[in-house]
Order: sequence, then C-alpha cells, then structure tokens
Amino acid sequence: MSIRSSNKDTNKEKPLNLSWSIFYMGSAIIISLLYYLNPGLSKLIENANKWLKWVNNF
Amino acid sequence: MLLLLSSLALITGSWIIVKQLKIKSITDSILAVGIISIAAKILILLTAGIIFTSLNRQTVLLLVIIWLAFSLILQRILQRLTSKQGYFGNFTNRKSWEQDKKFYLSTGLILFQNPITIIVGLVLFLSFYYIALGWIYLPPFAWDEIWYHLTPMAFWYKQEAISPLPEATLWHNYNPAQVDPSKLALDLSVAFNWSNVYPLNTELSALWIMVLTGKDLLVDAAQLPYVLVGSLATYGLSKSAGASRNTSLLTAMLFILTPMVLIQLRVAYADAAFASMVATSIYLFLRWQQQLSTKYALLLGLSLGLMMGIKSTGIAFAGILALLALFYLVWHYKTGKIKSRMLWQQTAIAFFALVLTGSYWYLRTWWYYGNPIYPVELNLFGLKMPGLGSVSQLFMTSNTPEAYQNRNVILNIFTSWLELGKETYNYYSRTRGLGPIWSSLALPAVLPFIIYAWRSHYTPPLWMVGIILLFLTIQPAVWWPRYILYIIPVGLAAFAWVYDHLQKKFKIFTSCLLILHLTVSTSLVLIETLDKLPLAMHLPAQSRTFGQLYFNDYIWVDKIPPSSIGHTPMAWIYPLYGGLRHEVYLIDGISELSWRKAILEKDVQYVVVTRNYGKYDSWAKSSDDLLDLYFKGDKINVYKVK
Repeated sequence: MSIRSSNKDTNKEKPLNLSWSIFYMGSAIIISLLYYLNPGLSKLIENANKWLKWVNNF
Repeated sequence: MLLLLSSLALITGSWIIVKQLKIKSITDSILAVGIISIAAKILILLTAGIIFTSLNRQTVLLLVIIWLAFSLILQRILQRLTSKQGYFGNFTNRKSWEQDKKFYLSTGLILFQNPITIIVGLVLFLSFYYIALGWIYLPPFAWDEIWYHLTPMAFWYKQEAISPLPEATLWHNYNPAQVDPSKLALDLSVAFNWSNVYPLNTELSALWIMVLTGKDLLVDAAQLPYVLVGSLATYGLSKSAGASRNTSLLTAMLFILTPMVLIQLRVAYADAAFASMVATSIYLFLRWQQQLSTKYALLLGLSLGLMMGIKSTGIAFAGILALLALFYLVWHYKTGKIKSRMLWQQTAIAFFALVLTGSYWYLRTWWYYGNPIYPVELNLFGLKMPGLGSVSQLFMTSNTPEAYQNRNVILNIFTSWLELGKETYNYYSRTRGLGPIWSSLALPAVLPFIIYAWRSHYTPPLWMVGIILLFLTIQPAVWWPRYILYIIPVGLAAFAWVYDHLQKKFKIFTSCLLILHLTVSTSLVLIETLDKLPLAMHLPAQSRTFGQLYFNDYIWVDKIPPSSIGHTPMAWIYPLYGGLRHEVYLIDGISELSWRKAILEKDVQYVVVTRNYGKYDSWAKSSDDLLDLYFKGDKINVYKVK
C-alpha cells in the first residue's frame, strides 16, 4: 500500500454511495431515537426544567 | 500575574525550539509547542522538587529563565551550525510570516463562513465561559481529586519537595490476605492513597499553579493544556483521515464538547488528559510514518512519555506504539529506504524523550514497592513482581455497576457506548459520557470509513482504527466511558470523513442532528457539573469552600485561623488544607500510646478522626487529658489539642 499525503482536501472526491449513505443515516436516526427515549422522555423534560431553573438563577 | 508570565516564558522557549525544528505543517508546529511546553513544565517541577528539594516560587522562576536561556542558546548554536536563519530570521522572513498569516486568516474565515462551525464555536465559547467560572468560583470537590489527585500536590507544595506521602512507608508490608474482603476496598481507599503508586504528570499542572500563585484557585483546570493539545490532535487525525480543514476544525471543537471531556475539564482528574495524549501519540505516529524524520521521532517520544506518565495503562499503550514504530523502521531499513544510522538515531532520540517525560513515576513506585505498576501484580514472560492483586480484583469488581455484574461484556459495552445508561452526566458516570454525537454520528461512520480506506489503499484510517482496537483489547473495563475517551478523536475523524462525503441533503440532516445532540448534551453536562455555581456566585470568596458548598463535615476548616491539622488514615484529605492555608499531617500509630506520641511530636493543633475506621476515635475519647472534642460531623470528629 502506498502512503498518501494527509494534507489533501477531499471535498471534491466522490460522495458516499447510496447504500452506505442509507446505512449511515439509518444508524444515526435509530441510535438518536434510543438516546432520546432512554432513560425516557419524562427524564429529559425534567432535565430541561432543571436547566431552565439553573439559567434563571444567574 | 506570575503564573501568566511564567507560562508565557515556558511557551516562548518551546516556540523558539520548535522554530528551529523547521516543521513545515503549522498544525504540527503548534502541537509541538504544546507538547514541549508541557514536557518542560514537568521537568522543571521534577527538577525543583526532587533534585533541588526546593519546590518554591523562586526556584521554579529560575528554572523557567534557564529554560528560556537554553532555548535561545540552542537557537544560536543551530544557527551557526546550519548558517541559516533561525527564529528571528523566520519571524522577519516575509514568506514564512505571510504563510502563517494566510493560514490563521483562512482558519478564521472558515469559522465565520460555515453556520455549523459558528454554532459549534458558540457552544464551545459558552461552555468554556461557564467552566472557567467554575474554576474561579467553585472549590475542588470530586471524590478522587480530593483523595489522591490533589492531595500529594498540596503536600509537596507545603514540603517544598517531591516525596512519597507518609502512607507509602506505613503501608509497605500491607497484606490483603489478612484483611476481611468486605473491609479491603475501604482499606485501599482510606489508607493506601493511590498518589504513591499512580503516575501524576497531569496533576503537576495543578502543582504549577499552586507554586506560582500560592493558592489553589484554578487547580481544577489541570487538564486544560492536555485537552487543548488533544483537540489539535483531533484536527490532525481528521485531516490525516482525508477530511477537509473545515470539518477537521469542527471535530477539534467537538472533541472538547464530548460530555465526559467537558465534565473532566472542571475536575482535576486525568482521563481527558490521557485520552488527549493517546490521540496525540497516534497522530504523531502517523506523521512520523509519513516523514520518517528525527524531529517527528523526538515529538513521538515526548508524546508517548507524557501519555505513560498520566495513567498506568499508558505504559502498555506506549509499548505497543513503540514496537509498531520499531517494526516500521526495521522494515524500511530492510527494504533499503533508510540507513542503519537513521534507524539507531531515531530509536535513541524517541526512547530518550519517552524516558525523560514518562519514566519517573514508574521508577519511584519500583523503588518503593519492587514493582513499577504496584499494587497490580505483574506476571509477564515468567517475570513476577509483587502486588496486591489483579486490576480486576483491586479496582473493577467493586466499581462495576450492579446492572453490569455477571453480564456479557459485549452487552455492557453496547449499553455504555450507545449512551443507554440511566446515569446523569457526572464525573463518576460509568454508563454514559461519550455523548450522542459519538454514539449516533461517529460510531456508525467507522465502518464506511475503513472500508473506503481499504478499497482506496489509503492507510492512515486503517492504522488509527487498528491501533485503537489493539488498545481496547488490553484496556480494563472497556464499558467505562471515562477510561476509553481516546476512542473519541478517531471516531470523530471517521465522522469528519463521512460528513465530507455525504450528499448535500444527508449533510443538512446530519448537521441538524449534530446541533440538536450538542445542545442537549452540553446543557445537561453544564447543569450537572456546575450545579453549585449560581449559589457560589452569590457568596463571598471566604464562603466558597468545600465545607460550605459540598460537605458540612469540613465547615470548621474555614473558621479556624491558619493551623496545623493532623488526621488519621482517611480518604478526603485535600479539603483539610483549606485553600492551602493550613499545614496537614498524617497522625497514625499502632497503639494508643504511639498515636498520642505522634500527636505531640507533630505538634498539631487539631486532630481529625474518621469515626468508622480503626480504633482512633475510641483512643481520642479516652485521651481527654490531651484532646477536647471541637466539632462533631456526620462522618468525622475533630479534636482540639490542649
């Protein structure tokens, strides 16, 4: 294997193909949902309230 | 002011040296300044504390001046040897200056051109602002920092020398087999004090602050220099992975905003610093592979040394990377790409730098306990060294969450890595901390990242993922987020590459998800980490203490004038220093008589006794001719010596 320079801007290279894009986006959405549903939406809202109280304390 | 001037002098000296190294990449130059500055700080403190046994402001300032003079002399020598322009030459060299200016301007422009980087930059700025308020208004409070991270620093500051804490000799012949298993964990945590056996490179940043300011304000910022270097390494890894400068800048900021990294910035622990130096070592390993130059061998050696001087796991990681580098060099030598002189020169320089910055703590532990990684038993290639047990027996069994016990380790990893735990974001969290950006955007990016790299024969991504996998195979408790924070920079590099290669519609969606995750996780982290900040900001400076904000048992520490305080074996020693106002001594003895003798010998004014540990409290109660009960806390009793 050859070693390529790391200072190359790869924005112009080919985009990820559709199957990999779907794999990536699908995984991102499922894991995000798991994150927000665990430990439960109520906990999240509770934390959001706690956060608002914290901001108001300043 | 002295802290600022000394730190600036340290960085200037490092900058002069780095200019002489003539590193072409500006990122690598800044990274080199960071690494050399940290290394110089450690060497200055070790020299003042061990060789001169004069760890005070004057000696440290003198050594900083010597460091600056050394860098200038080195510059002159190198200028004469090469007959080329050096530091000042480069500074006035129009081309080089213009090049630097162009880089900084374009980096600045990136920040203001891209809405995502503006938002992430804003979140980072706000987070730093609040964390900095925490450093100023809140005292050290987290369990391990007031137990063994900061206690030795305060002890050394008071002694003006770096020496083992008294527990080192007291517990020399400790036999865990004679201790009831239910009491073992308490014994280890109360009296053993890990500061005598753990490497403490990160904590020396706190010592630097104590020595130069005479106070402990800002000591919680001990990990900051390392995390900044780690952020730059994340930028470098993303660039090495083939990502654009724009996205690499984004990942550099995201590394600092990782929940557990942000939490750790508020406490003087060592995990974020360790992860930063692992990322730096991997990045410099890749850069050294590309350049195969002596200067990169030197930087790699320094980085490996700094890493192994932070946590004991680092010695194994440094061994793996050093072996990989050696094989790589030998392979290049065999194929005739380098000469034998280069092979030996680079090996010697890297090894010397590694020993210089990372070996002291292991040699100390070896000297005192006969095993460099004591109390962990060492049994390697037939070589057996004494210890109290395995990592699992000593640390992990009692620290494994109940839900994780007797469960498949893969399932535990799955729960923690995907952020499915039920804990909040706190410094001790064992089931959360890597953050939703890691779990939902970085982790799924690793597979396409390595498959595309494999197909296009592009080696850096394969090296970085391969090295991380090797590290994970020897890492104890891979489910514990703060122990494996080093997976974040490589995960972010994978994310950066995938993000750059997504179609526009997917990219917009990913950006929205990223901003949502960042806002939620950062808010939750700041609430948890700085929960006492609003209260502390309304209190006068003398009331912003551990006793008044966190644990009432220590409230008396603030009310007495500067005193000499004795304590029996206990865990939370650091708050007894009362912001470095008091002198603190261990008072121990095997009988009531010897214990009373120790009180008189040390001439202490107060004695703190942990009620649930040993016979000390009953001895204190029967010593009413010597001691008066002064304060009764929840867990401790404080006696005033008559």
